[in-house]
Parts: sequence; C-alpha cells; structure tokens
Amino acid sequence: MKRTLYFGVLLGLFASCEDTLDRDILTALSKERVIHSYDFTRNTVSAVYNVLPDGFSEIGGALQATVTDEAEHTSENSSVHRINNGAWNPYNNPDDRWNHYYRGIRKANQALANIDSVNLDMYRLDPDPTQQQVYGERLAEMNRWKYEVRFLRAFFYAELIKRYGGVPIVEGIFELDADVGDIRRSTLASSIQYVLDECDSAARVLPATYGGGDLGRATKGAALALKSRVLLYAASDLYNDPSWAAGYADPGLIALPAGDRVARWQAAAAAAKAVIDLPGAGYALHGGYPALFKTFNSPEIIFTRRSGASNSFEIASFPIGYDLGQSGNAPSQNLVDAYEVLRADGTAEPFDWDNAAHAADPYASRDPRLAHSVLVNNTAFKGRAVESWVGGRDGPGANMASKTGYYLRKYVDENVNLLTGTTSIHSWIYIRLAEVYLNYAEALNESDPGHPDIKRYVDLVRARSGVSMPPLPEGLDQALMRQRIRAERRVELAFEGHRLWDTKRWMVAPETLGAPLRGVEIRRSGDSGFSYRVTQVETRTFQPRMYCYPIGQQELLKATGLVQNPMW
Amino acid sequence: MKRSEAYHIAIFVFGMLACMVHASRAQAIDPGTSRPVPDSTYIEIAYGRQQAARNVAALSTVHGDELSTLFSTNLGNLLSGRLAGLTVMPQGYEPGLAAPRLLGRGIGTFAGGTAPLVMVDGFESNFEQLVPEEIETISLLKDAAATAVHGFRGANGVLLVTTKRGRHAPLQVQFDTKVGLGTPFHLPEFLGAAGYATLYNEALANEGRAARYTEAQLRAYRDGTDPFFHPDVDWYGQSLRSVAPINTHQLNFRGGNDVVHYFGLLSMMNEQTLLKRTEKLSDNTTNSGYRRYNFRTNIDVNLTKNLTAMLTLGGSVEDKRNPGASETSSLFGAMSVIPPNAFPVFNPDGSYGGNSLFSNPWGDMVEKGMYTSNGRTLQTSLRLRHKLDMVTPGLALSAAVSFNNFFRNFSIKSRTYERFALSQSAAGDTVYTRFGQNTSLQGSENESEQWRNVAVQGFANYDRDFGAHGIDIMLMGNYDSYTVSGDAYPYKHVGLGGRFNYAFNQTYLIDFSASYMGSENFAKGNRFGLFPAVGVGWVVSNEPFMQANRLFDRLKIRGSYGLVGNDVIGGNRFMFDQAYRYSSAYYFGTGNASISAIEEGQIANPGVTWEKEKKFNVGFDAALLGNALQLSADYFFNHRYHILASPNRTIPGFFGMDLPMLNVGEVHNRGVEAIVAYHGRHDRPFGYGIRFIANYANDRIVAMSEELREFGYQQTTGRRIGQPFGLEAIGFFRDEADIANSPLQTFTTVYPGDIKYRDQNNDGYIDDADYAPIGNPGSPTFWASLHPSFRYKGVDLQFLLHGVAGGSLYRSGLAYHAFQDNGTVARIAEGRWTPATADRATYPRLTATDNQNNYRYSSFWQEKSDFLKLRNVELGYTLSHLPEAVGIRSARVFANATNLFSWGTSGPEDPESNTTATAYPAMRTFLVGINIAF
Repeated sequence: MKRTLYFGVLLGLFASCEDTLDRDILTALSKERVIHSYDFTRNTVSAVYNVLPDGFSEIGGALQATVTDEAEHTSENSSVHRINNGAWNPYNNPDDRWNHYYRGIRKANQALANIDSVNLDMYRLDPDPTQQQVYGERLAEMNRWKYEVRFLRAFFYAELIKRYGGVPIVEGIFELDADVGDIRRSTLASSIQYVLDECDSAARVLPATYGGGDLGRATKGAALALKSRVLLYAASDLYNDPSWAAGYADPGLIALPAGDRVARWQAAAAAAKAVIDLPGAGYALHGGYPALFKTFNSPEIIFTRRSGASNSFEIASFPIGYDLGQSGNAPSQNLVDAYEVLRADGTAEPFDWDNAAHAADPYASRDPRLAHSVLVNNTAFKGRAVESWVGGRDGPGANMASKTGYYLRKYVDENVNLLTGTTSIHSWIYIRLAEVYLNYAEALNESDPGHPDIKRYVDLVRARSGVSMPPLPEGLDQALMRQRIRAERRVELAFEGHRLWDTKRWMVAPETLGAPLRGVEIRRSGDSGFSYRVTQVETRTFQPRMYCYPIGQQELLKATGLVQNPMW
Repeated sequence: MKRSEAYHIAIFVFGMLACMVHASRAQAIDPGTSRPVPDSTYIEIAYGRQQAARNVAALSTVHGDELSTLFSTNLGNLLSGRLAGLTVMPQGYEPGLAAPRLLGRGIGTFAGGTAPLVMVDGFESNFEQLVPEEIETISLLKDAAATAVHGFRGANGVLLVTTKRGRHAPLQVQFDTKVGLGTPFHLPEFLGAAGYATLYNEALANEGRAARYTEAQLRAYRDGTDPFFHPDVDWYGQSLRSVAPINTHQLNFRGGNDVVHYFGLLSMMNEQTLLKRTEKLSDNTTNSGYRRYNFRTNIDVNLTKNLTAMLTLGGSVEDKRNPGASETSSLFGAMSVIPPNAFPVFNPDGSYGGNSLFSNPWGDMVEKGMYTSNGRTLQTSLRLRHKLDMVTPGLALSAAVSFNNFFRNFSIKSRTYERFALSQSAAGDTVYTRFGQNTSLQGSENESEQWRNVAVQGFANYDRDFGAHGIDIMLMGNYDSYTVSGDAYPYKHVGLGGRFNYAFNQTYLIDFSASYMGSENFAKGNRFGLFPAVGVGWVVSNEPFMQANRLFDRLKIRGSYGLVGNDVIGGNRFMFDQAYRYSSAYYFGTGNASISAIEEGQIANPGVTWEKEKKFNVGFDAALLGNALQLSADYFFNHRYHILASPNRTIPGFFGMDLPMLNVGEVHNRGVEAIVAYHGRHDRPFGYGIRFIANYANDRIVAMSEELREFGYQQTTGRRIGQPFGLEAIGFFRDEADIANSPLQTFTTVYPGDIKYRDQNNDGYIDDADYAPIGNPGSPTFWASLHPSFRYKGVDLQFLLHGVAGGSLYRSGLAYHAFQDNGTVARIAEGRWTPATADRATYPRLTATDNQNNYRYSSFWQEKSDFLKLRNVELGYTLSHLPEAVGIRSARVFANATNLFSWGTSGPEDPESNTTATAYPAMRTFLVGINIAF
C-alpha cells in the first residue's frame, strides 16, 4: 500500500511535467499580437521608413561625399579610407549595403502581408456612424500604407541597383529552410523596370501632399521623382556602354540591352517634367539656400529622411578648434575650385589658380553656394573667424585638423552648443526639386538639344533666392551645355550623395574619383594677409571594376545562383 | 606538437617522476593529506552515494578541512589547485566581490554557459558564501558516468558540495579564531610630478607642439618646494593603507546517538579593505569592509526504526560597506588616472583640490557618501528516507524538498561636494575656482537582486548483494524552479533519472545511468531529452592472477562513454517563438513627432535544442606500497555539438533576416589529469606526505558556420575558444627610411619610435585585415599543484605550490598606456623610444594624445599569463594529551599565509585574474590562529 502510494506520488509528479514547463503568461510581443493590431502594424510601417540610411553618417561615420572628389574624412579610422585607397573587395566593402536593404525589403514585404490581417472589427461591427467613419478612414489609411511601403521598397531596390547592377527581386518572405539554389540576379533592365513599375503603382495611389501629422510620408511626387532619377541613370553612359567590362559573361547584369538612347533620354526627361508639373504638390525652390538644409518642411523637399533632434553631426563636423569638434568631412580643393567667380560686370567665370587675381584672394566674389557649403579660412563661424592657416587654431599643427584646409558648412547647424549639449533636427534630403530640374535639363539636352527648357531650368536653379548667379550664356552647344549642367549639378548638390553616382554614370570616374584629392595650405603673412598653396592630400584609386560594387563573397558562397560583377 | 604543449607535458612528466621517486623513499605519514579511501566507504556521487569500490566514474574530491588553511571570503577561490580538472580563475579581489570563474575540464562551448552545475547537499545552489569548516567534501563530477543523471545540466561538470552532518559519536566541539592582515601583491606604479612633466613635454615635442612645463616648473616639481601650485600627489598612497585587517572566528559542534545526529556551526568573518579609515573625518562617509556571519544546523532524526528525517539548514548574512557612494572600482579608476601634478589633495585654505576633468579621490572617499549592501542566503531542505527492508532487503524510498534563496539590497547615500582649482592672478593672488557644490546626502534604497530555488525530489534505492553479484539501483524524479530577479520567467526543469550499478566479485563493474529531462526553454515537443551513459571498471588487483603480485595493492581500470547536455545555451530565451521588437522610432509631421517602430526580431528557431556532449573517459586508480602511494590518471575527449551559432555560411543576405541562432556549432575538448599522492603511517614521530596534481584541457572550435574570411588566418574556426586577434608587433620604426621601406600603417601617420606591425597579407598596408591570432585566450590550458606536508611530533608544516600555463593577458589602460584621456603615466613608460635609446627602448615613442597606432590591440601589449604561486603555507603546533582538568582535548596554534609569492609576469598585474592592473589589487594574506577541540 505504502509502496503504491510512493510510486503514485512519483508518477503524478511526472505526469504534470509537460504542463509545468509552459509559461502561464506571455510578456513578449508576439507575431500574432502585432499583425492583428492597427497600432502595431502602423509601427511596422515606421520600421520600413527607418531602413532609410541617415546620410549624415552613411559610410563609416562619414558622408558619402568623402569617397568622392568632394571631401576627405579627417579621422584616420573611418572605413571610407579603404575605398579611397582601393583596399576594398568582395570580402570587405565599407559601403556594402546588400544585407541592409534586403533586410528593409523583408520588412516591407512583411508589412505588405500584415496590413491585410489587421482586425478592425471593433469599428466595423459598431453601427455608430462615427465609428463607421473611423473604420472607413482606417481602411483608406491602411491601403495608403501599402503604397508607401511599395515606394520605400522600390527606393531600396534603386539603392541596390546603383551599387550592384541587376539584383534578385524578392517579393515573398523567405522561410529559414527555403531553397535558394535557383535564385538568380535579375537583369539590370528588369530590375530597373521593376522599380519603375512600382513607382508608377505608388504614384497612382499616394497623395500629392499630407496634412500636418503625416508630413514626411511618401508622396506621389516622391514616387515620380524616384522614377525620374532611375530613368536618368538608365539613359546615362554607364548602363549603355558595357565596354569597361569587356569579356564579362553576363553583360545584362550591368548594362541595358542596346536600344534607342534618345528614347531613353526622352523617357527620363518626361519623367522629370511630370514631377515639375505635378498638380497639387506645390513644389517650389526654397527661399534661401542654407536654410533649406535646416528644415524638413519646404516646398522644395520631395523626399527626406526624418530624424529626431541631435548634435552628433555637429560633433563630427565642427572644426577641431571649436569645443568638441572633430573636423569630420573636410571639403576638397577639387570641389572648391568648381564654384564660379562673379565678375564685376555681373557675369561669371570659372575659378582659375593661374589667374593671379583669383589666386591672391581665392574666396572673394565666389558663387554664394561656396560659402553656404564650405567653411573657408577666415570666415566667421560661431563668434570667431575660422583659422585654417598653418598654426591657426583650426589649421595644420592642431591634432585632427582638416587635411584639406576646409570644413563643412552645409547641413551643419552653427547654433548648436556642444558644451551645453543643445541639439537641432537634422533631416537628410533624398530628393529635392532642384535635382529634378537638373535631371530634366540633362535629359532634355541629350534628347532634344537646344530645347529652351534646358537653359531655363538650369537658370532657375542658378537664380534661386540667395544665390542669384547670372544665367548661362546664350547659344551653348550640346557639349558645352552638358558641361555646364554637370558643373551646376556638382555645386548645387554638393555633399548630398549624388557625386559618387553621377561621376560613374557619366563614366568620368577615372579622372574625378581617381584624381588626386587636393587641399590648400594657407600661411598667414602679417596680421590679416594670407597666401595660398594647393597641396595634394591623397592619391585616390579608381579602377574600372569599381563602376559596380562587388557582391559579397559570402553571398556567392551561400546562393550559388548569384554571379559576381565584372573583374572582382 | 607545439612547443608550449611539449613544455606542459614535460613539466607534467617531470613532476610525476619527482613524486614517485620522492614517494618511494618515504616511510612516514602525513597528518594533512587525504587518506586512502577504504573500499567499503561510500563516496558522494550525483543524487546519492556509492561504494568507492564500485565507482567507475571520473571524479575528484577535496575535504573541507584541507581548505581552511587558506583565506578568501569566497570559498570558490580556495579550490584553486585542489581538484584535478577544476580551474579557478579569480575575477577580482575586493572583499565580498571576489567570485571566481570556475571551469570543469576546460571550456566546451563558445556560445553557452561554461560554469559547472553546483549542487549543495543535493540541490542546485551557490556555495561560494560557505566556510570551509562546514564543508565535508567538494567533488567535481567529470565524465558521462558521473554526470548523465544530471542530463542537460551536466556537460560542464558538476560540483558536488556536501556539508558536514552529525555522526554516531560523543559531542565534539571545535572553536577557532584567526586574526591577520592582507597586503597588496602589486600596485601599479606611476611616475611622480617631475617625471610626469618631463615626459609630457617630451610627448608634446614628439607631436611638434610646444612644451607645457617650463624649466622653472620642472625644477619646482623636482624639489617639491611648492606643494600647492606644483603638487606631487601619490593618490594610491593618499587613499590606501598598506595592510587590511582580517579576523575570523568559528564554533562548531558535532555528535549523535541512536536517535539524533547533529552538526551545528556559527562563524564570523571580517575583512576590511585597503581604503583608509575615513569615518572619523566626516559624517558623510563610512569605513570600508566586508563582514559575513554563517550558521548551519544539520540534524538527522530517526523517527522510527526505518524512517529518518534529515533537516539541512544553512545560511549567511553579509554586510559590505564602502565610502564614496559606490563600489571601490570607481575610486581605483580615479586614483590611476589623475596626473600627479593635477591638483593637491588639499588647498592652502583646507578645501579639497580638484579641476574640471577630475574629482578628488580622497575627497570622494571622505565627502561623497556611502555605499552599503546587505545580503542574506538561506539554504534549507528536508529529506525523509524510509527503509523498506521488510519488503525486500536493500530497498529504500526517500523524498526531499528544498527552498534556497538569496537576497541582497543596496543602499546608496550620496552627495556632491566642493573642490577648488587653484590659479594665480596676474597680481600674484591665489584664485580659487569652484567645482561642484556641497549638498546633503540623498538616499537611494530601491535596488536589490535576488534568486530563489524550489526543488522537489523523490527516490527509490535498491542496494543489495547476492553472493558475488552486487546490485545498486537508484531511480529518481526531480522538479525544480529557479527564479531570478529581473527575469520574467523562472527557469524550470523536470526529470527522471536512474542508475544501475552491477558488480561481479567486486572485480567486474558496470554502471548504466540515464536521465530523461525537460526544460521550459525549448518548444513543446522538443523539451525532453534522454541522456544515457555507461561506465565499466575492472579491478585488476582482485583477479586471482594478481594475488601474487607485490607491487599493486589495488589497481582499477575505468572507462565511460555517454551523452550529456548543457541547457544554458546562450542567446535569447524562448527563441522558438517568433518575437517582434521595438526599434528606433521614425519621425513624421510638422511637429517632428516620433512614431514607434516595431520590427521582426531575430528569426525564431522552432527546433532549438540544448548543447549535447559525448563524453569519453578512460582512467585508472592504483595503490602501491601498502596503499601509501596512490596514482590516478584520466584521459578525456569531449565532443560538444548543437552549440548555437549564427548560420553565416548558409542563409543568404537577400533573405533579409536578422539571422537566427541555430544549433550548428561543434567543439572538441580533450585533456588529461593525474594525481600522485603519497602518505605514510600515523605512528612515527616524523611523517610527511605529498600530493601532486596536474591537468591539461585544450579545446578547438570544429564548426561555427563562420563567415568566409578573405585570409585564412582570420578564421576563428579551428582555434581555441576566445582566441584573441590583433596586430603582430615587430619592433619600433628606426627612422624615416624604415617607415618609407615598410608597409604603410594606415591608422595614423607614423614616426620613428612607433610600433611597427607585420603585414600579414603582404598587401603593403597595415590595416584591419592584418589582425591575426596572437597569443592565447585568457583561460589557461594547464595547471599543476604540489602539496607537501610534514609533521614532527606536534609541529606540522604544509604548503601548496600552484603553477598555471597556457593563457595570455592583455595590458591596456593607464597602467600601461601613457597620457590617455588626459591621464597620467606609468613607470614602464620610462623605457620609451627616443632617438638616443632606439636600441634599447622597451616602450613606443610617447605622444600626449591617444595614439591611434601604438595603442591598438597588438602583441606588443600581450604577455603570457603563465605563473607559479606559493598559494599557501601553514605552520602549526598541536598540544594534545592535555590533562583532563584543562577541559580541552587538543589545541593547535598555527600561522598561515595565502598567495605568499608569485613568479610570472613582470608587470603590475595579477597574472591569474583577467582584471586590469588598476582594479582592486590581488592580496597576500597572513593569519595566526588557534584551534581548540573540546
């Protein structure tokens, strides 16, 4: 009897085992809770926006400009130097965004799959008219989310295509055990077509503008402007001239099939014009050039990456002689030289070191955008003049001083006080109207040279309030106009993440990205006089294979259907 | 074979031979070292006891009495060099915060927990707060035969702690008291103000900058005539005393009769820290120290002839207090960073010195407040055992329940206080610039940590001999639930286990054991696992053909093989469920309002399972020379698999997943252990004994789905767990020509005297790609200990030498890297490179700012952490056969020292602990005491 009792206790103990190990309550955020909730699903859409990189520290804590001829990053430890000295490859690429954007694409695909599972029964089943109205509004809002997410996904693909050429188009959600053996890269043509189609779909549904609380969400204009940019890239030399990759077995991955170039330029021009003419969007150039980079709410901004208030960009960018400044992204002489000089007669001429007047006082009478974009020696900044001269507080001799003699001005908020820790809102502009104007002028100059809109839109950019550069001369031929448009793009969009892609698609990278990066050595003579000498800061490396990023060697190993880009 | 391995094996063999030679001449006995275990005795094994003669498993044991010759507030530290297979790595020395890292037979996993399971009197608990006097034995269970009943909790080994219980004997009372002191082993050495200023000027000059200190200032530092404007403060000397007092007292009694057996203990331990006493100086401080009281009552009552109740009740109360409103770490940090000339301790007007960068360590101690913590541990269990000989002889049933808990609360009272920086105005007046302000103490009482453990066990035992056949069977069921503060869910286990041990003629032994266990951390359906093991033994000396041999008194050959597991797998808990998580918010609207973002978390692994380990072990135990010489050796090979690892080699990036953790990792861990012990007879006036223990365990990562690396040397797979990767330093740059002819070091511009690194991939650049495996992980692979003891009449002497090898230490921080973060400079910087000393420099060129080239993780700052320590010496004198009128049965006076000497690295660090040289220092302890038995 006793024995049975003991064994009974033992057995009873064990019988309840499995249940004993269950959790009585759940505190974690489970998938089920997320996908049926309106609020949580709205949060998953925020997460897709969050995939957009913050351009202020795009690569290794630096601006993308520092891997172009626009700037040199001061910190020796930033990974951007690997790109500049050519020490990057399929194993180590500081700007390898493959995983980042595919993670974003997965988030987008999940949001698309989940939006339909949101349970709105509490409104749907309530006959109260106000509840029914909420129900209707939420349905419409959730439908809009889908197109916001599709735009963002297209944006992610466009970023991948810029870097890698044709990429696998993933519209589903992979499970852990999915078979990846036969997944291939789409051709460049079909990858681009995918992005264009998604932009069209999004543009059909998204509103042209948003009310107060939703400002910053993807608009119809954003979708059309992305399309304009993608078509401009597609019409440019790089995708129409695979000669740099002669012998590559899969040219379709890095170039478009031969076709009607003019039609491609026409499509690009038409897409840009569609943005310019978009009814209801109210796009216009911003009142002042510097103020544009301190706001997220401007008629010029078509799509921007929103962020909270911070001062990390000022910490990174203030000259070394200012409290807590780290010099960061130092503009190059190569860029500074690109800003025109205003003549006394109101016309403009290129800057030229061989011109004695220019060389003696190089920062005088320059395109005002120079002073708004670059902090040059002896200009007032935070209550004192910047001392970029040898021995100055911000000049050579100070540890971690700019190597080029310049500091960044664009986007940097002078009013931030790092010692007291004040912050301001920084918003990284992805697409703005001036770019679309220049997209339009560039495409039109190729498809319909001499069209009056070409000069008109370039001049609009030059004449913007606070810049007021004289119009382009009349009668420029196609080649000269091309040169002027490219120069305009360079100075107007400096540091904004265009130069790397523009120089590649124009196929001028060897003489731009590959050119030695220059700076200036400034010596103070007497009390206020300065003398200037251009110096070489760094030799830069550009090899043809760098027109396309390598696909990570890891990825080729894991997905055997992927093909590496040429010469990597 | 690598040189280091050969070296270890050479030591090992030499040590063994030395012992054997030594032992073969020995004729006498030793009072201290353990006696041979008679075959009929029972030893503690997992969930029970077993006849020593029938054991086939690998385990090593130390008796509590042997541990009382050392001093540490943490019992774990006393096990150093005592248990073959157990590596003890101290993690700090501050009284009350000295918990070491324990490894049983090295490391078997790179993802999961590596600590052995600790069982105190049959239940999971911690043991570090116990005192040696309440310990009967501590055993390390090592192989599959020993640990399989612990299922997926046994793979890291099991440390079995058994406390003393009563016995059928007259009352024995023991009282002992010890007093003594601790002194620091090493303190980091910093330069004085003159040296600091001179080197700082040199560092500035190296950067092309103007000197900060003029010749007159240097002179003032040298002659010390101006202690306020040219101070020279040794903050260590200012804040620390050279010795920290210790005292411990304990009383225990033990006995029993037919009905009750009892053991009781009360102990008190008090260790002060090295911080000077500040209590008398201000109301805002407290003296620093640690105090603990332990008590234990273990009572066994025979309720009826067959029913026994065993009550185990042990506990401790500990108080720790510090000045400065924090643990001592921040104080030690401050003392090791402030340049000696930064400011004086006190200004001319008696106020505290200070500046904008640093607060005043002495001021912090006296004025900043106090920190106290109070911890309580309670370990209780009740066990009922019913003999069922009336059903069938040898059968017994028992059941046990245990409640263990630990609670600690922190009380912090803090304030700020004024410091003043001195300067001189143009007119020559002294100007005081204030930093901080005086406030009143603010209390913060709401922090605490706690855990509690509830466990229920039921057993059926059957132990009977049928002629030549001996059978010992154990079946058990177990449920435990472990709740830790800060964790929403308790950790639970349920399991069934059993052991079947069969002996034929006490010569052929076979032992099957198994457990079937489940844990809440795995998905339903994947929760339970079976862990079987088999062990065999052959007692060769019992064979008839061995009866004639005169060499072996006993010789047993053992082997075991089985499967165990480790459910402390690392990663998130409940990773079988797909979780979503909040990520950084996004901003919308004209008001830039943040909207939270939720994203899919790490991909779930629905099939997640525990780590498994196949353990193979062979060994032998032998006794020779009339049981005076004992030899024991084991070889083991452990293959751990199903270790969690990120599938970097299989999941493509375009899946877009936050990679899951999958059970794909594998580790091989193998090694040897040996014990040689000699002990003579009791009946001579002079006796001595010696014991030598050596062990070696080395692991290799076999698989971890590691991502593909560009260069083979960058792979972690195939190396030891925790292998450091760094730059290989190959000297200093001689001159500009040397720099020009060497690969370009890309971290910053280099100058002669900077550290030159090897270009591992020969690409002409020294960069991140040149990080290669350098040195060894922090954990050693080998240790050996030698423990001789001598007695002449009443005088006894013993010591313990402990040598450790196979690990590396790394030197970073201000004790080595000069002028970092506006900090001070250590004495080793005197060997810096200058053009004149280029040939004999031992330290790179000085720079005043943090040097991006020289202070990188490199072999320059790495050193072998091999060392030999004189762990313990004790000298005693025993008075026995005292007249009965005295009322004392025996008394022993003794003096002992812990960590008396250390031979090893040259720097100011303790080679044994991986703490920085600027943490609370390793201590050397001296105690004198008396032990009285009534």
